[in-house]
Amino acid sequence: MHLWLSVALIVVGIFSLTVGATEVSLGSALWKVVQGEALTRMEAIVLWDIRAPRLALGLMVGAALAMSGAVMQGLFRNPLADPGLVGVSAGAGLGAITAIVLAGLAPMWLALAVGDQLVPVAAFLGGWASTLLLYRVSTRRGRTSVATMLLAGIALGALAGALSGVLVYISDDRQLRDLTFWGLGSLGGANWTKVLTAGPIIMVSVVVAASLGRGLNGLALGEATAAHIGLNVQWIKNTAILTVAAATGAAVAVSGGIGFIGIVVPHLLRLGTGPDHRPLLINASLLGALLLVLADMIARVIIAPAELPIGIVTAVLGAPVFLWILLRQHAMVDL
Amino acid sequence: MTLSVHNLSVRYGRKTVIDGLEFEARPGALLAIVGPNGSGKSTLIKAICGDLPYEGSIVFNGTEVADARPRDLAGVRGVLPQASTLAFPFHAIEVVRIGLSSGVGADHADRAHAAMARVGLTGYANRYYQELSGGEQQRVQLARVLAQVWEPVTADGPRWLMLDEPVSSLDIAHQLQIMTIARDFAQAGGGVVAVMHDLNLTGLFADHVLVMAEGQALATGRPVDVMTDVTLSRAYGCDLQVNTVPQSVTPFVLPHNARAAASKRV
Repeated sequence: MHLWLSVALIVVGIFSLTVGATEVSLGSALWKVVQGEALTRMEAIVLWDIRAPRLALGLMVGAALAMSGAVMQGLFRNPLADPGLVGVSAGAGLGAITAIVLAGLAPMWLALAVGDQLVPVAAFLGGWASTLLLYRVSTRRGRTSVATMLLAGIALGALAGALSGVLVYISDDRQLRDLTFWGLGSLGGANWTKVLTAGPIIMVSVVVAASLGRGLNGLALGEATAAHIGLNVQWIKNTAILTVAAATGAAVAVSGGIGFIGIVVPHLLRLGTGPDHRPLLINASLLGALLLVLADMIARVIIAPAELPIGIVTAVLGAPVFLWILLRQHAMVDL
Repeated sequence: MTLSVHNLSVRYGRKTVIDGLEFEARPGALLAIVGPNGSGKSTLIKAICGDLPYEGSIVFNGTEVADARPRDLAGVRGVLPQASTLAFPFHAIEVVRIGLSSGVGADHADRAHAAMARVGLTGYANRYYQELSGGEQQRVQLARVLAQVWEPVTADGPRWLMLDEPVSSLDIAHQLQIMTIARDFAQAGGGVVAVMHDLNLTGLFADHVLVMAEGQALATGRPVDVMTDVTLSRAYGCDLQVNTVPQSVTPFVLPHNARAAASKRV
């Protein structure tokens, strides 16, 4: 399964480099490189500065979202959990909206320090702040209650939504458009700066999270039993929450709100390889990367030369798939 | 290599559930903890298993439970919980294997099948756990625990089974089967601590009995000594009469006026 997904990922990745609004051929560019000829300026810019970072970002964001979804479902022992449950999405959204609407009020030194990366930075910090808050609220005497976290997350999400509403209310038309599009998600702003800042965070998180398979299998038997068979339950929870907050926070910061990858990908994989988290986590990051790059290709070509926000594509494809999975299981989801 | 509980208190918030409890359990014997609902039996076994913060001391094979790492505890004792859920559709055999996966006995994957056979579930390996009956699920969980502490005695000392109402959802044949497995484990040198509701099974299988009432030990000792009219009636707050199985010392328990109660209904 790992192997097949990896092969498919490479094929789709190469294919995605060839697809876009402009008529630039990867094949002829590669041939030129092999022949030692210089690329045209157009070819160099489109391939190296636009499509390649976009592909890299798509791979990372997809892996981060799908892996985070699988980890959250394991941690919350609930097949409907998604990364939003640890407060990342709500906080990141609030951070992004704050940055979009209040950017004009930012002090000069801040504007100079982060430049045009203000929105991603604000989203990342917002995501982290809300996760840490939720974690504090639901941890007593060194034990984190995931049930409390779930419920407090709903409250925090509502609060963040209300604050976002205030900001939306005072925003002007251009800002409103910006934040709406942010919420729909896009890889359109991909550049190497984003890849190199979000990349290491996501990659470290995904690698660390991949080691949680055994622990999450144990948690499936219940927290008490997981401890009885020798697992350090609090360590598993801490690792899961921190890696998901980091990976999802970074992914949301650079790509906006992209839904359904985190929930559909693990479900699809469980149909194939069962609930064992050890293969699931690695397969999820591979399939998530694959599907997101695929969705991005669709977003780029379906109304070319314009571009559809990728969140729309993932939702339109993801929602029916998710419904199909639910109906296939005879709606046997225990909450 | 004993389990000794000294001046143990457990509180849920302001409510004291266990209040200054003392007792000792030795390997090679099956200790049954009995008592009415709410007397603190399950809380006691949870504290022994390291699930709850407590005051006082619980020393298990020479180590204070609160200071022990989960992994070290897992090497010396397995725990059968009262009720268990499963979040994802694992096969029965996978549930048993997960119990081995944390490193304790991880190199004995074939033990999972042997443990399933031990509880009479040969052929159930690839059934979905969630589709099994309550009793079958209980036995899968017991298989998981047995696989974890497969040899009752190792070079490092005896191992323990902690059973919280192990037979509560089983029919009588399987009750006897499970209790026999527990007693065999004890007779092979391991330790068994079992929370029991059924006083007659307790009389049949226990080597020692701890009678609890209101968070304290009302009596401890051999069944024949502890299971008396006075003690049990006091513990459970109703009139009980302890009889003896003919030609043995095994006690069995009936309501005090059982014959009168039965004849009235005719």
